Amino acid sequence: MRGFILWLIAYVFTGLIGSLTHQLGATSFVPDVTLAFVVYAILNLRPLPAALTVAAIGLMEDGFAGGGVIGLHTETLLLVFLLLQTFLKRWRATTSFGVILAAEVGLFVHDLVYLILALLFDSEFRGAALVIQAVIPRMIITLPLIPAVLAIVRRVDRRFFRPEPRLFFDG
Amino acid sequence: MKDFFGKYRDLVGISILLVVPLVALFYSGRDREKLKPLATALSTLAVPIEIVGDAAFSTVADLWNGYVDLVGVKGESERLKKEVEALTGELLRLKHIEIENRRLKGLCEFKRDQARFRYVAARVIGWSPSPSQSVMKIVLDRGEADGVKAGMPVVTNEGLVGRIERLMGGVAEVMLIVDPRSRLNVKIAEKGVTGTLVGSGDRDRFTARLLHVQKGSDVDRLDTVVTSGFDGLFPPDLEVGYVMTEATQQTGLFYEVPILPAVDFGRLQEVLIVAGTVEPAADGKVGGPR
Repeated sequence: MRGFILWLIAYVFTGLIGSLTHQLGATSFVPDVTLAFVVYAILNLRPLPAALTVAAIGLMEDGFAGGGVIGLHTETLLLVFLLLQTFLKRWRATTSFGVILAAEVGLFVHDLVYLILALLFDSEFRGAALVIQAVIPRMIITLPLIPAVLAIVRRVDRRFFRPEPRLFFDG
Repeated sequence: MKDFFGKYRDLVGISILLVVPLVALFYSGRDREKLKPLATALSTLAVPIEIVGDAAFSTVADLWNGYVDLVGVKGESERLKKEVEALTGELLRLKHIEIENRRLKGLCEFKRDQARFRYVAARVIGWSPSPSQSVMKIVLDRGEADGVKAGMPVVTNEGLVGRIERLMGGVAEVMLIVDPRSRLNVKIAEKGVTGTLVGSGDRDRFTARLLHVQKGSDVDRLDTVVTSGFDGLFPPDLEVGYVMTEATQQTGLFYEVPILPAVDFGRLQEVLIVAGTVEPAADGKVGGPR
């Protein structure tokens, strides 16, 4: 259930950010806050529910992407999830700064993994240069949104499930 | 088996989660039509929030654009208001220039037509101070230094204004022909009827009276009154005014005729001071001043 709520918030955020960037005409560099949800899931859910939540978020992203190639975003997010899980467990990055850094690194890795998978599996993929060009701008645009997203997720999570204050943003 | 699954549940579950999208990616990446129903279903999933987001942000954008437009309109309105003020000022200035130009043109034409005189152009800079006073005079921006002397006639292209009464430094006071103290000998043009023009002193109407008109004289309404030149104060044939009405008032042996001055004293701005006459040269052309 926590995973579903997390997915639901991710769904709302992704949809609203897409609409907002469309309204602003800034479709070249759309912020990607899904990594914030991935990090939150890693830090707050058990591994399998976290992976399921991440997979659901990935599928949702596939849907928002227009449903061209199924599984591209899902697979990318799952691979980044695994990498971040290892990183976060090893480095115990549970402070605000650590979590934001993890999300930013995750975003960077996400774009690279996405590029590799698209080049490997999507026969119609032609946007490698665009993806590479957008990596850093996307990280910059996404950076201020991550703390806000995490704060909202944490507030909603606490309201519905009253979890133990295991992690970041206490106070 | 159950223990194995329980022990490696996470590993198995995550592995399955990794493999399933990879397979989907493998198939849909090669041929997008293969998983099209799933792709369509996922796309449909995104529609509701996109509609909500689009409606919300469109409303905000519309409100913002409306506000920006409103601010723009306000700014534009202010700018246009200032522009209108500036243009109105400019229009008034140009109208003033046009009127002045017309007046000066009239004076120039008069000067050309009356080339027998030598003129000093002057601007009216003051009027007699109090409306209650029957004295009617104007002040000109010319004085002795400009060659102006007391008694010199003052004219416009419309007709006779009065004469210089007093000189005070750089300015000259002019007694108007409508001043009750003013006396000048005039005649009805082309009729030979003579009389004395006296100002009525009526400030509101700026009129004069023609006195000493002999009984039975041929005086008609709108007859032109000109200077006779008999008094030695004014040169002959300068237009003075018009007979206002045929009905004449009898005073003793003579009649009195109301005269409307040719000059509109209410709008007097520039005048010409008749500073002397110009003697004709031997060849008949206008020569130097006398």
